[in-house]
Amino acid sequence: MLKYSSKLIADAVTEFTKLPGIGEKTALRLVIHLLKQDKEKVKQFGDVVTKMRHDIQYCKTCHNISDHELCSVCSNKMREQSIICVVENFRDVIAIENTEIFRGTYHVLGGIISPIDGIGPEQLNVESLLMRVKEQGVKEVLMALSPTIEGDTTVFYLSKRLQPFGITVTTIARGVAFGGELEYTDELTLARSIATRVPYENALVKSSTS
Amino acid sequence: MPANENSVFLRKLTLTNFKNHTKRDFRLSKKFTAFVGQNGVGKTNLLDLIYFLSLTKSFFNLTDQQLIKWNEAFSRIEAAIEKKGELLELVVKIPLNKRKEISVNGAVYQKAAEYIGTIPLVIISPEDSDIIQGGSEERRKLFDNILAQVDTAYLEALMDYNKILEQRNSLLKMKADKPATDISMLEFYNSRLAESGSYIFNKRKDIFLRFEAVFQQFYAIISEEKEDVKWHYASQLLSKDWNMLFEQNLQKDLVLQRTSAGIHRDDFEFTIHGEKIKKFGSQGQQKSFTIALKLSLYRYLHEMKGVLPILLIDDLFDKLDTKRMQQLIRILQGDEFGQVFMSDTDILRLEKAFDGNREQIEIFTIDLESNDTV
Ligand SMILES: Nc1ncnc2c1ncn2[C@@H]1O[C@H](COP(=O)(O)OP(=O)(O)O)[C@@H](O)[C@H]1O
Ligand SMILES: [Mg+2]
Ligand SMILES: [Zn+2]
Repeated sequence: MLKYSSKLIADAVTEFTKLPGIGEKTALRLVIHLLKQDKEKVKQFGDVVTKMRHDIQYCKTCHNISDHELCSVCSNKMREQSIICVVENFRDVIAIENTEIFRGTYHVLGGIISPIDGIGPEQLNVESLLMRVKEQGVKEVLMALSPTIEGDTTVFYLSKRLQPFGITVTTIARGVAFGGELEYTDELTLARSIATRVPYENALVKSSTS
Repeated sequence: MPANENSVFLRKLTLTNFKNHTKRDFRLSKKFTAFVGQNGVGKTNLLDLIYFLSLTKSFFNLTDQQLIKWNEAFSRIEAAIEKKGELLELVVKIPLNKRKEISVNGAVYQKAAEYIGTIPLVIISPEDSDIIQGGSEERRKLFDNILAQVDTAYLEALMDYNKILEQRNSLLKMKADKPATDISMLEFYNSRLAESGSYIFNKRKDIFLRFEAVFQQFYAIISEEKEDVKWHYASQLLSKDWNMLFEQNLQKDLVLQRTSAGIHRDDFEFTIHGEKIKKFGSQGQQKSFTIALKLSLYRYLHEMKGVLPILLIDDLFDKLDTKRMQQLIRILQGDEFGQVFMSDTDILRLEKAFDGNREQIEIFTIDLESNDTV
């Protein structure tokens, strides 16, 4: 660490370096920038950050991040309640919302099935999805999960659990990097993959109920 | 050797900071190239470098970082290769603490699986005794190495298979730790293992069916003996299908917390007069055996790729008497073999082996300190 004549400055620099991608030099530049601002402005900056962390909640319906009990998507009367898009995390919600093509609601799983990482269905928001399908008159569940073994496992598992409800299960077109990386996929590709979604077919899901 | 229309031929090799070599520059024009020098001068390292150009990793299970010369910041290799009359300019960069980069004619490869197969190659090495003495994993590795060069889909199927296998085994462990664990995903893992596994199984079976006769021929020539040698593909899949295997082994799998059946349990058995060569072959027989094995894999690669691969022979005289060695060289001199690189400690012995054909071989003497190459 550089030598600082002020402990107050040193502490502030230390806090900034805890942020991803911020080294000490950048942190010092940010601190000096804040020093030059009005006290009121800097107070607002601190307050907003503190309030964000303190007040944020998870939507009780879809587990998206939310300012209220219900997130802005779930509480929007214009959104179609009959179609649910299942995603891994809330960053995927942000990416899909930015395409402005999807008019339904979301369900955030909070991960994908990966026993290697100790994640089974029990660790994910699965039961609440089944409840919604049962009670909300859902016609279609769209799986927007990564085209990896873990993503595919999750799609398979959920499809199997959804099978008794007789609804349509669809998946986004392949070749789109989803799940954590979805934010890097360009909007057009993402929009197209949602528009051209296809019914999920897996003989294993069918055979087990017939 | 005049580069043949259907061969891969390494014309030029320039390296910086690769293992013990600071800087070397080779121009190659003959069918045989030999690196000669005392132990420890870095002959094997040079062959390992050529191996790396083909398979994007060291033959000796070293990490890329371990290939950089000690205390240096990077390693760099440039090679010019003629392949079916086309020139490939290869550049490999390994920066310290960063990922390597491989480019061909300026285009950078993102995935190793897509690159592997560009320069088909087979190596004969003293380490080959592991194929006979080691566990089944050594033998699977050998055949996977060849099949991966033939077919990108094989390597991808294998990587998929191993990943799913790991997930499946982890699920079995989870279930043992927490009995309430939902294991309905097993069905999915099984179907995906069967899908990738069938692809792998068929390719492995294919080599064995088509190349046993070739293998026996090579063995007969090298050993000059009429011995009854056989190889045999041992796979659970030969007698049972995937569904049956998974069903029959489910209880066992749950207890053992791992997957008992599948192509990850395959083995390749080698026999001499019906007995396992591991126990009954002499050292000379075993060496002849692994050489015949490598030569038949070379032939397989040749047929599948439509080009003559590069052949590396580390320590040419290892466990071979003069007679067997001459038989080997005679085979390699034929049109069915392309560019050959070899290493040896004794220049006189080597020259003698090429007696009468001295013009076929170019010998580079490698010294410890000097970095000049001619
Ligand atoms: N990354 C490295 N940097 C420097 N020297 C290395 C490196 N890796 C291996 N060596 C050295 O290379 C030498 C072995 O070379 P090797 O090719 O096996 O010799 P040869 O086959 O001629 O007997 C050893 O002395 C070893 O210490
Ligand atoms: Mg050596
Ligand atoms: Zn919501």
